[in-house]
Amino acid sequence: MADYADWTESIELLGSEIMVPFDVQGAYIQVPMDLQGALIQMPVDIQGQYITLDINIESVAADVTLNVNITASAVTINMDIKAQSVAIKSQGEWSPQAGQQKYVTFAFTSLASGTESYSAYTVPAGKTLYVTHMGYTVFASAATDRDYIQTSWARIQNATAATDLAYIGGNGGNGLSFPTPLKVNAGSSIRIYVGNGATRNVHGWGSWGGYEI
Amino acid sequence: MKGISKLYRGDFNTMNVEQQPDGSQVITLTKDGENKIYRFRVKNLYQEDEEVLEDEVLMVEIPKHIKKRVKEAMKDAKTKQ
Repeated sequence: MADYADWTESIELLGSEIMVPFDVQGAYIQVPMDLQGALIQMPVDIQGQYITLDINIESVAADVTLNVNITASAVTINMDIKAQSVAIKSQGEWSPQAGQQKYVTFAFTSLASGTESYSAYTVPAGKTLYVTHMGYTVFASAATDRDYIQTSWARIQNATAATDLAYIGGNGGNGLSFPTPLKVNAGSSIRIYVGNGATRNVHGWGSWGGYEI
Repeated sequence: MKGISKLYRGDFNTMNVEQQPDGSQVITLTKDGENKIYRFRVKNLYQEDEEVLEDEVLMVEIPKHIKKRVKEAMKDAKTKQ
């Protein structure tokens, strides 16, 4: 950086009631702030009895993107929030409020020993599906067989990639949730299979859920 | 063809599939905020020879007696305030 003279412009306002409105109206408004220096500090210290810091971003015509990009050798983000209720939601928690949730179940009857039944769904163009859980349950088709062990399994598969993503098994059913959701891209088909490992026919259900964005 | 179209668009929140003895599937789709159930029967779903055999849209309505009770309960709560 060129060798310029030091420059300081301080703004100090003292008063019992101070208002500094900043009202800009126009067809195109840009308020760039470009700070470059060896040391940059931007402390914001707000103290008061009643504090409201509203950030309202509204776009009726298009999506809103708020990018926070931090590049550094080490980054520490401290959030110390003391309140009676705080809601910070992950995508999975938020998706039902945004109408993005997907819950899929399928039912089958008289599934023979050693065979599987499945249900499929193909993710539409422009969307990505994230599966957060799967489960299944089976019971003997004949009421007189229901005291027997109902060995069974389920698997969830990306059929387009011919790749199984997860397996579960058990006696009569099981369930599994995915802390890291299973990702299925647009155009790919997801299948949930339920298999009968018992010696007698079974009825049952399979299910999976998640969100599509 | 309303139901199958919704399925291909992913325009639903719940999907229930019932496998039928003849190999077809009865699929029911619902979506938040829509008081409708899209129910259709399809054979060979996602296959080249896919065929929709039945297609109907059902309206979902809260039963009148429940509506009435909710209204009374709300009125009751307001009175107590």
